[in-house]
Amino acid sequence: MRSQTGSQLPSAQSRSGDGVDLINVVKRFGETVAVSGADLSLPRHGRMSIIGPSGCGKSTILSMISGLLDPTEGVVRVEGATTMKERLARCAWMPQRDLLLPWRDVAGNAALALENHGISKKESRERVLELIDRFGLSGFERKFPHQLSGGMRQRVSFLRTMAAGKDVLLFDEPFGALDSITRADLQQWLRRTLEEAPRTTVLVTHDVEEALLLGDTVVVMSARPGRIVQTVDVELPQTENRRELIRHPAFAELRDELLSLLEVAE
Amino acid sequence: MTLAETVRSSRTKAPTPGDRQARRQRRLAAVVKRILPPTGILLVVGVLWQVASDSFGVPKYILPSLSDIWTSASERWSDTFSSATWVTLQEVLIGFAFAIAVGVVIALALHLSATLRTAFMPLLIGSQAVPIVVIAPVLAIIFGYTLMPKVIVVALICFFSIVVNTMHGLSSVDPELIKVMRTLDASRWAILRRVEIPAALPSFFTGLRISATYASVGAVFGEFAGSLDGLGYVMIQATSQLQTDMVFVAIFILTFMSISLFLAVSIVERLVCPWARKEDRR
Repeated sequence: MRSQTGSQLPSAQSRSGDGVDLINVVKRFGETVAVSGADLSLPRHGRMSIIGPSGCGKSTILSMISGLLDPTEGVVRVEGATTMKERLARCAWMPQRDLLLPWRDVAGNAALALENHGISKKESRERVLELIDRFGLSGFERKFPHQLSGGMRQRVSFLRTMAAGKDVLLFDEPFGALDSITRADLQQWLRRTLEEAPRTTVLVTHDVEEALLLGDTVVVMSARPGRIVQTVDVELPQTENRRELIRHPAFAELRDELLSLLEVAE
Repeated sequence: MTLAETVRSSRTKAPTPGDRQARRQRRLAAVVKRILPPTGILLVVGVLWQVASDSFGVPKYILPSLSDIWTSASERWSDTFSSATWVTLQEVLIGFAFAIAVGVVIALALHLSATLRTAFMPLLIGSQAVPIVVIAPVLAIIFGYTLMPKVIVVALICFFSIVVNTMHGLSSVDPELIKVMRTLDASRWAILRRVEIPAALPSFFTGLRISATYASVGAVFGEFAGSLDGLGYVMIQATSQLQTDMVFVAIFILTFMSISLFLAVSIVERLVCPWARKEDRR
């Protein structure tokens, strides 16, 4: 990121090594087993959705990938990096709540990562302006979070995550707090954005449709102890828009398969 | 639509002169609504006071009437109260500034180091158990009849609520936000500077407002213990000569000083963190 110039969408640097790998990962918090023996493999620029009942350890897996947590046993590898610090440097993480800084306007919030890289406040703002434009937020640069709707705030939060220029994006139920209309809108928008600027993406959700819309593989987990039940490849026809895709028989079939897997998982 | 929403939505359109005038009127109405009740109550109390001291024949040395107090204030302003007010105001302001500086440094140090926190917290709490009434004369012995002992007493009284509130503000940042900042490559220093310190400002100002009301009491304590001028000194002199009206003048000036300091802190707070009130309104 530091070496990047100009204000274009920070493209993922071509690093050697793959995407994200979890090898026999176990995470315990004291007596509780949060994740027991997870194996996952996601190629570079692949998109994975993880679904499961609450308490199945899906958020824990995300934290371990991001480098905010270390596994008790096993290996987590992100583009070849295994230490927490190196993983943190490669991953951007976005939780359900937007967590924007109320004292910074849209551009100021988006510029946070650049400022953290030691770039001056003024230059950081200038660099994110084009991103703001691309994210359909132009005209809102100087608005403060309290002046924005929930959907807009989440979009800014997403922008802030993207502006960090990380190759791996981790989403923890990013649209969970939004109403269904805004959520549908943002799902479509995120799909398009990721097609234009591909990243390695892991999305945690409890919404089966969202998992199918945004992932090309879906991992189903079960609770207590959290483990992986099945990995399903998503192969869907190209459609005009989200609504047509959801109506497609192939989509309905996959959704049904995932729902039945989830029933067993509960 | 609430008033706040109306104001906000009218801001997005180009303001017409009519809009601006209407907004000014609304703001004026809000100010009047704010000021009317306290002035009303003060007036009622004042009238009752005057009537009570006039018609019940209470001796002047027990309860002087408001007019007596006013007379002595205007007669003695130039030879006594002007210099006394100036002396006490200096003690209050310097002591308050001292408390802010020391309080913020302590709060930051204790926030950043768990070891320091466990080591110094008992001492800090203990410092509040020390009776100021006792410590003030000791300070007067050490420093003499100078400004110093009063400044120290004011600072001692004021710094604690600043430390406690600032620490609370620093540590009340959402832990998830800290995690987000870490994935945005923030160092410890960057988190402190870009998240924790701004987030702590509203609490810091709460601490300031609390201690602003104590500050003048601290100065009077300090002056009681030994002084040659100041409102506390005037009070002691006047009490021994049964000049109760003089005591009341000093009390009124002190009250005015406290309220002004409190308001000044509130105004600075509005300028420094305007987002705090807007977030609350959401």
